[in-house]
Amino acid sequence: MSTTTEPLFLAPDPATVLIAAHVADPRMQAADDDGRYGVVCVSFPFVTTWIAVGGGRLGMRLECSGYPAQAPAGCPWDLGSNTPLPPRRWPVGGRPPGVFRTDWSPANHNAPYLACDRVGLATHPAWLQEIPLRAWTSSRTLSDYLEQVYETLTGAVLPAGAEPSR
Amino acid sequence: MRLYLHAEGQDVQILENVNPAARICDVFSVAGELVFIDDDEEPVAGDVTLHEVLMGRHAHHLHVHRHPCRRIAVKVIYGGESRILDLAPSTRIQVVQARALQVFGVDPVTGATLVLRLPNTEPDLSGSTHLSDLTGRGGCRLTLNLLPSIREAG
Repeated sequence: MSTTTEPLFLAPDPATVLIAAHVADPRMQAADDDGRYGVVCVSFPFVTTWIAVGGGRLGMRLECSGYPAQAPAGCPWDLGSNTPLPPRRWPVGGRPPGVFRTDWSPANHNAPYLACDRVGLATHPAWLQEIPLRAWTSSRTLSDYLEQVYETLTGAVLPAGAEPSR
Repeated sequence: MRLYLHAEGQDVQILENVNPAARICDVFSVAGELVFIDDDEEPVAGDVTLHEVLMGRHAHHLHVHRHPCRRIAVKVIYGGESRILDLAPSTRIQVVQARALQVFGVDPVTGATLVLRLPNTEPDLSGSTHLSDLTGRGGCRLTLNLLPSIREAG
């Protein structure tokens, strides 16, 4: 007869607990109510979100394993078909140098060119020292990430006919 | 309905399931302060109901600002010059920046590279921040720097 004690249940990943809390926090709630950005659904490790862009909405899926020690890894997402959004439908313009760079993002998991993103930061480790206020740290939240994408997309537009359905 | 209560130096407070028939002064204390709704330029009286405030708005939520000042004199410094903008406490930073770009005559391309910051601080102010979150009983004035944003490069 075995004497090992089997766990009665598996503790939830700490990331899921924090994600749930940050999705429900007042800042996220206000952003959603005001129409700036919000969360569509959470299916750990993925958090599907939307961000207002030029009168439309851009879908983004964030891979959040290891959150918040690890930054979310985001990519544009078609909310209608639940598939990656092809580059021809990515937003254009916004604050230079742009969030989604066709000369960089496709070769880097379609990541936004931002220091709050896991891929952006991993490929530009110097950003931690150069732009620490924009770089991801474990004290940041999903709202910080989405706010930064939203602010950087100020002035950007979605290509005609490219707006994803919600 | 949902209310977001803004006051200087305090985290935004959320009140859920507020009865729209309630008067503002019944929902929270407004003693000695003016009350502004959303991005409105003028305050509302404390004895109006939320239902009256909601007239003409397509909202299931309101941002409510309690503030001692009717107007904030916002001094914006850019390129060694300054301009004073006279704005309600309920004004969002994105509106302050748009007004500042206008009075300084900054072209849109350059304007897209600029951000507002509080003096002696480094973080860019978010466009969604309200002036009421930044100023209070310390005075009805505020100084902001309009500066180039430091962005990702390399």
